[in-house]
Parts: sequence; C-alpha cells; structure tokens
Amino acid sequence: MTEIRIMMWVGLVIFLVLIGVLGYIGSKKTKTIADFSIAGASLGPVVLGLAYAATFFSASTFIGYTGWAYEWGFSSLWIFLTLIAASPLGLIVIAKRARAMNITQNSLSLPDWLGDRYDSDFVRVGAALICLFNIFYIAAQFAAGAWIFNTLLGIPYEMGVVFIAVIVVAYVFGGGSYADIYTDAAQAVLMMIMGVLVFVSIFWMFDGGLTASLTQISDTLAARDPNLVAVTNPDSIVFYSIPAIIGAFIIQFAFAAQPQLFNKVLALKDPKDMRLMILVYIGSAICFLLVIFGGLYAAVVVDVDNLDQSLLQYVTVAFPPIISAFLGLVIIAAAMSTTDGIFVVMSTIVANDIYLKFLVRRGYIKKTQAEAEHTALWLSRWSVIAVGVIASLIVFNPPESIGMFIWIGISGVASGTLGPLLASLFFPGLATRTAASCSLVSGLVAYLLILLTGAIKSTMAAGSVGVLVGLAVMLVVGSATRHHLTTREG
Amino acid sequence: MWVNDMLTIWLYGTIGALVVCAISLAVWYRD
Repeated sequence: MTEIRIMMWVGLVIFLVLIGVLGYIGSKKTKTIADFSIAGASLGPVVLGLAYAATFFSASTFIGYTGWAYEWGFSSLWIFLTLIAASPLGLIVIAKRARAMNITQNSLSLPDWLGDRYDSDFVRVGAALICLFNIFYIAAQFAAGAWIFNTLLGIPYEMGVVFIAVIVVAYVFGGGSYADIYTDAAQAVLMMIMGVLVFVSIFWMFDGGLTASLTQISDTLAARDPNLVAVTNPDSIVFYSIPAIIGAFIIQFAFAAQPQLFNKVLALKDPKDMRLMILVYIGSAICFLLVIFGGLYAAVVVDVDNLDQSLLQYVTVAFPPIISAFLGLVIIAAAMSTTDGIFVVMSTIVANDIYLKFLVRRGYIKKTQAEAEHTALWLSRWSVIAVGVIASLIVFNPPESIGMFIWIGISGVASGTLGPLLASLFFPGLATRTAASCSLVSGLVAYLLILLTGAIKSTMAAGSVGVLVGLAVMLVVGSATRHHLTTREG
Repeated sequence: MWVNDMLTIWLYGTIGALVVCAISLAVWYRD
C-alpha cells in the first residue's frame, strides 16, 4: 500500500500540473461571458467529443457501476447497453437541430436556450432553478473523490472534500469552459486507457480465452446465486424487472440533454462537424464502459464489504501497484471532468440566465450594457466558489449513497426540461409558451411525488415517468393552445 | 448463445446499437 501511496502522490502532482497548464491556457482565452459558458462556440469536434464523453461519465461509472456488477452480476450489463444505445441516440436526435437553431439564437445554456426559444421568463427562470438541483451531482463527485484520497493517500475524508473542491474551483474560476473542455479531453484519454486495461485483465486473471474465462465467471456466479447470471436480478436496485430496464433506457435517452452536456453541443464551432463529434463520443464511451466487466471479475476474485470498493480491490490484485495508483487518478479525473462541466453550467445559470437575461433585461437591476456584461462575468466566477462551498458542505458528512444524490439531480432536470426541449425541436406547431410552462411544472412534480413516496424503487425509472408526464403534458396542452402561436405568441 | 443469456443480449445489443447509431448518423446528419 505504501508503494501505491508514493506513486499516487507522484501521479497526482503530474496530473495537477497538467490541468493547471490547461486551466491557464483556458483563462487566457476567456474574455467574455460567451467564452466562459460555451468557449465562444469555437471548438473542434474531436476535443468536444472527448470532453462530452468525459463529462457524461463520472466517478459513478468507475466506482458505482462496477459495484453493481460485483453485487448483482450480469444483469448490470444493462447499464452498458442503455449507455451505448439510448444516450448516443438522444444526442443524435437533439444535437443537430439545437446547434443549428443556436446560430441565430446565440443562447449560452439550456435554460437560456429554452427561455429564448419560448420567449418566456417563467420557462427561463424555472428551468434555471431546476438545473440548480445538480449541486447534489457535484456534491456526490466530491464525496467520491474524497473517498479515493482517503483510501489511496490516507488523507482524512473531510480534508479530501476540501482538497478536490479547491482544485476544481480553481481552474473553473480561471478558465471557464475552455479549461473545462481542454482538461476533460485529457481526462477522457486516461479513462479510456483504464477501461480497456481492466477489460483485458481477464486474459491473465482467468484460464483460457475470452469465452472460456467468461464461462468460468458465469459458472462460479451461478453456483453462488442463479440470479447473478439472470437477465434481471430481483435483488438489484436498478435492473430488477423489464419495466425498470425500459425506464433506464428512457432516462438515459434524456440524459443527452443534461445542461452540462448541452453546452458542449453549443460550443461546437462548425455544426457540420457534429457527426465526427458524436462518433468520437461513442468510441470513447465504449472504452470507458468496458470497465464494468471489472465488477464481474471482482465478484470471483475479491471479497469486499462495501460494493463501491470492488474495482479498486480487484485492480490491486490484478495489476502492479502503479496501475492501482493510475486507477485512483482516473477516478479523480472522472469526478473532476463531470463536476467542472456542471460548475460552468451553474455559474452560467446564475450570471447569464437569471442576472443578465432576467434581472437586468426586465429592469429589476439598472445597469448599462457594458456594466452588466462586466458584472455577469464577475458573478459567473464568484458563483463557482459559492457552489463549491455549498457542495462541500452537503457531503461533509459522507452520504449513505452517492448514486442516489446523482440521480436526484439528473432525473429532476430531465423531467422538467425534456418536454419543452423536444417539442421546440420536433413539434414546433405545438411548442407554445403555456405548454412549456405546464410541462416544466408537471414533469418535475410527477417525478418528485414518485421519488418522495418511493412508489418506484429505481430512481432512473422514477425519472423516466417524470419525463413521460412532462412530454405528454407538453403535447396535450400544446394541442389545446396551438392557436396562440398564430395570434398572441406569433 | 454466447456464455449465458445476458452476455448474448449484451453482445448483439451492443452491435445492434452501433449499427442503429451509424445509420441514424448517416441519414440524419446527411448534408
């Protein structure tokens, strides 16, 4: 363990220098609020494809999903399929029109985009407030990072929270989304290497080729409990039934429209490059997700008390110490690359969506255009610090389940925003202001009711119901109020 | 069947998903 600790420290220093340099380059390029939020819509497809993938997959992919595979066996591979089928399709469907419409709209975030599209303060501020739920997502990543620091470096958990919060806040504060996207692309490469390494470890950890080794794993787990090799496992908190699996597919489709991912779509310089960006994302996603097999290998090779520790334990058995240290860094990178994207979105929401486009534009705060722009950039940076402090406080006592924190945010945002987003892209004839407002409220309320009553065990499935309610209300109210489009809302 | 039911679903599901993504990218993003 001492050897791992020394290597982890050395690796961490190199890693911090690297992201420090990238953050510095980003800060040099950040001069306006548009630079801060969507990198001035100036980036290329390969960098953005990698950044999109790194933002999409967080520490939960490496810690949480491998833990599911360790605990509930082969049925956990459904998460691989939902992420490789539904999420890319969501991106394919949404990205093209959203980016194309933004050529004339010039919006900086998802709430901004919706507010501009519907010309509605209620939709803008409502979506902005819903997106603030993602502070739990940030908090969960801080907890995951702190846990790694604790396990691999022996740093007390609370200090670990402060440590990772300070690092992320520092480079987002300076470099905005340039720093976010550059560091994400670097972190994506690390995550790809780790995913592939863990997958191929089957060749030296088990006897025979791929099929023989997987058969050996399958037989061992089946002898322990037949549910571990079944298509659904009643013990699982996610893939316990066919409807729960369908729910997971729906919510993963909606995930592609999460605000921290949506702003990467808006940052693409030439909309014609969207296809290459999506291909880069899908390719890197497959490499990341291969890590889930590590949970299945771990179920045979190691025995842990806490399922979140399974991958780390497996890697210490299957690889030399330097790779364990590398895994620690990769998980930190995964947590940071997701967190920084959400940071950028949250500060854009405060500075642009609420301050600039609502409070200043409606005259609640009197400022000249130049003064307001200046204050907005200042506000976007300082809100990064505020969010960092609040998120740290939330997880100062380690949460029971970081996975639940994450899905509270994602499902809430998707429930409220997907109806108005999809309608504006694909049913413009039904995309009325009234329908968007009703969809926003009803999708969120439906989701919260299911969540609070515990009517559905899986938070992913609960989110999918919220999304479907939001969509249905959007279409029904849109049909009823469509005459407004030609008269009042024109 | 490859190893067990779930791995078979995983294998064909992954291939199928990639084919669907490739086709939809080719059609939807045709310039």
